[in-house]
Amino acid sequence: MLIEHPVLQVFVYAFITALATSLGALPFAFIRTLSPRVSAFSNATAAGLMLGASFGLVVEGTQHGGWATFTGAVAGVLFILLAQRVMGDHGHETEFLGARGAGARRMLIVIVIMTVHSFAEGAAVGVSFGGGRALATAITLAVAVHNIPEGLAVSAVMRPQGASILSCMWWSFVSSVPQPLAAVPAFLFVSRSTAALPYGLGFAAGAMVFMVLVELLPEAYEREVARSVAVVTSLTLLGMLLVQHAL
Amino acid sequence: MRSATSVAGVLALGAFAAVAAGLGPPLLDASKHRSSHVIGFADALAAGMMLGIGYSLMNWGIIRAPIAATIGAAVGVGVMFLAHVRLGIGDPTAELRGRRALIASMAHATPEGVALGAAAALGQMVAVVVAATLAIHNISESAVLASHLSPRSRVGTRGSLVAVESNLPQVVFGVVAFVLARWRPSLVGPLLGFSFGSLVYLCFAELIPDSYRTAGRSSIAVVVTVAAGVVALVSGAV
Repeated sequence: MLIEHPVLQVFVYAFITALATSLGALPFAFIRTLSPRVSAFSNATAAGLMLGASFGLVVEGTQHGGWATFTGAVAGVLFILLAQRVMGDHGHETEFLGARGAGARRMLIVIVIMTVHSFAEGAAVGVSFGGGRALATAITLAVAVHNIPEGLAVSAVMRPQGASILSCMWWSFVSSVPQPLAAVPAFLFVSRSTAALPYGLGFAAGAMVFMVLVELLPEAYEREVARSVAVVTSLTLLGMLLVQHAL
Repeated sequence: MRSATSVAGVLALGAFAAVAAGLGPPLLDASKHRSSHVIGFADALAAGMMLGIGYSLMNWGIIRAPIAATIGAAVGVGVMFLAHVRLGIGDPTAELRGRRALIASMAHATPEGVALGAAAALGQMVAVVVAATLAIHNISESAVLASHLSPRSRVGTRGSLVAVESNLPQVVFGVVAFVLARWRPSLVGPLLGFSFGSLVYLCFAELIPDSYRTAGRSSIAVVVTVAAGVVALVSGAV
């Protein structure tokens, strides 16, 4: 590894995940809108990856303390619930994702919501370094791939409004900037206090599972039949478990 | 964790889980407001428990035989998907009522039985934890089945009998999987993988989307996450 300092490593890994969000804008260089089926399968893939990554976090966390991991997971769920409350009614989000020709306010809402929940994903990357390089690589990979559909979601709202590809890529990246910002303090927290590690791992797992259940899967079911979503999610989840095992 | 389990033990644990299903319909009848929310939360609870036990099964499978468990899991997803296509489950134009609901429930119980049998091959404590999880899961699931069988009125004793009947494949396939696993220990990994693949598929194809239709997504997400966490915690301890 070229970068030896652990804090810098955490920052670079999380920065890469943020950059991956920009990739979501690329399909819009060729098309103006995204088919519902592609959108559903993107969400289902992201859901499987996130669930697989959460599994890795839980397995690692329970080795340090089962109840602590569970308590952390509940705190992660509460964090996302609180973020939703602060952001207002969650229903607004699904409206703009499903709508064509949405206005500037909707663009702003999608970016802000993506930004808020990026904190939890950044924390996941940060605390995963407390569980070793293999876990950190797996979680970074999962979050990076998961970010691509998020970039798709941001761009799918912006592009039909006439935004340029560069603008879509920029705002997709901005929506994930909290990831490197949250990853470093999360890593420092768990590395200074090993007792905090299972809480941190549980927190990240709970927040990610909750986001899958509250955002990714419902949106996938709105656009595609449940059994197709189930096949994609299950196989992606399986693939992620294997990758983690191999690492 | 690793104490011997017998065929009689698997039979007893499978029967315990299946009979527990009989409690779902009376509980539904007893609920003051038979609202769609109650059904949604029952679905979510069943889904969370299934996800939690699925994770544990795959973890045990991957530790023993990663490739075989993965192949088993992919087969599990494929078999359940084909069963759904054949039965028309998950088809938005087809309502799940009466006989079809019962057949779907029996198809559901089959991989649960395999899960129990494969888990029993790992040890008695694992089998007890899986059976207890399935029993609680069955109560929620049979309450949902009762609502499909009789959407507006009480189901009574008949509902309990149908719920137990729909879970009999758990007993049969539990014993079959256990005998197979004892006969060829190399089959434990693929059987655990098969259980994981099929159970997780059922969660994503049936339980979770059904629950979203009847209750708010945030509350459903809380129930699924917490239930999965508790099951993963308990099964991880054995």
